[in-house]
Amino acid sequence: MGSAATPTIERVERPLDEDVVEPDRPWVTIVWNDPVNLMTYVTHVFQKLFGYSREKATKLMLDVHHKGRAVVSTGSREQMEHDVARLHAAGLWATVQQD
Amino acid sequence: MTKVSRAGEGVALALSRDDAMLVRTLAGQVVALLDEPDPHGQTDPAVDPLEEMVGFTGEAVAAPEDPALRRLLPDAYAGDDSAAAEFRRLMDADLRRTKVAALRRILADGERRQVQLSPDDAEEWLRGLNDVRLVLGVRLDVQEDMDDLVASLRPDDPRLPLLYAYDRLTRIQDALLDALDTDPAD
Repeated sequence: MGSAATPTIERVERPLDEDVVEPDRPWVTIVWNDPVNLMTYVTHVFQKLFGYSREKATKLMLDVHHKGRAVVSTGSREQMEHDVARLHAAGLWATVQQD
Repeated sequence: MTKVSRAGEGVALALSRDDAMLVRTLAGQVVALLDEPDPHGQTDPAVDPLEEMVGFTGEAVAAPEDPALRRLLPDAYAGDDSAAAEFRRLMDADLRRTKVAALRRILADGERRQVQLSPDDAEEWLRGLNDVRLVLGVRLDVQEDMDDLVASLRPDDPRLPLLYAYDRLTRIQDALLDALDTDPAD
């Protein structure tokens, strides 16, 4: 570590919609809607696998149900593949992709 | 009547004779579908025991053609066939083993009919029942609106027994979830 410099956060003027090159775009785990899995089961799995609160798990479940898909976790590719493997073990239809 | 109730952190499950037979029959069929060799059965002498242990044969694993099996073992990547194939090569054996273990729990507990399930046991029941429902759902072509499917079936439709089974498993899974997700302090 170098000398004790006080970190400063500066305002950067930049339009929000400007394209930014991000070599480290995160990976995401997507869960897709399917007509068999019970809504209560999907919520239960999100709580169990990710430690999400009942509220957050329910919101994600409803996103899957109404929008057809939802991002349920974000991180490294390896982490997302681990999440997808666990979701497949629970019978949810999940895929990995780069955000 | 099958009874499901909260017992401590886990669940007390008492299956009716009919439900026990139903879940065992169907769980056995899905085990056969997943084609996992019985761990107590003959081992294939051609299989390297070390590779068998880590579930890694180094060879590509084709995606299942049966849509029901494909639903149990889906692609991990949409629109990236080579990434999906690589994931399947590494994970397929493990996923099958996990699923078969859950189904074997249902087979064993179903024989006893009255069981105390720890939270982990109950998770295996949920996953096993769900996998059977997924297979039935594909076979029955279940869509969001079950009422349409039910209304379209004539009394002599050969799919009726499957639909009945699907409904029974749904009720048992729902009851298990209800028991698990209810705070006993409530």
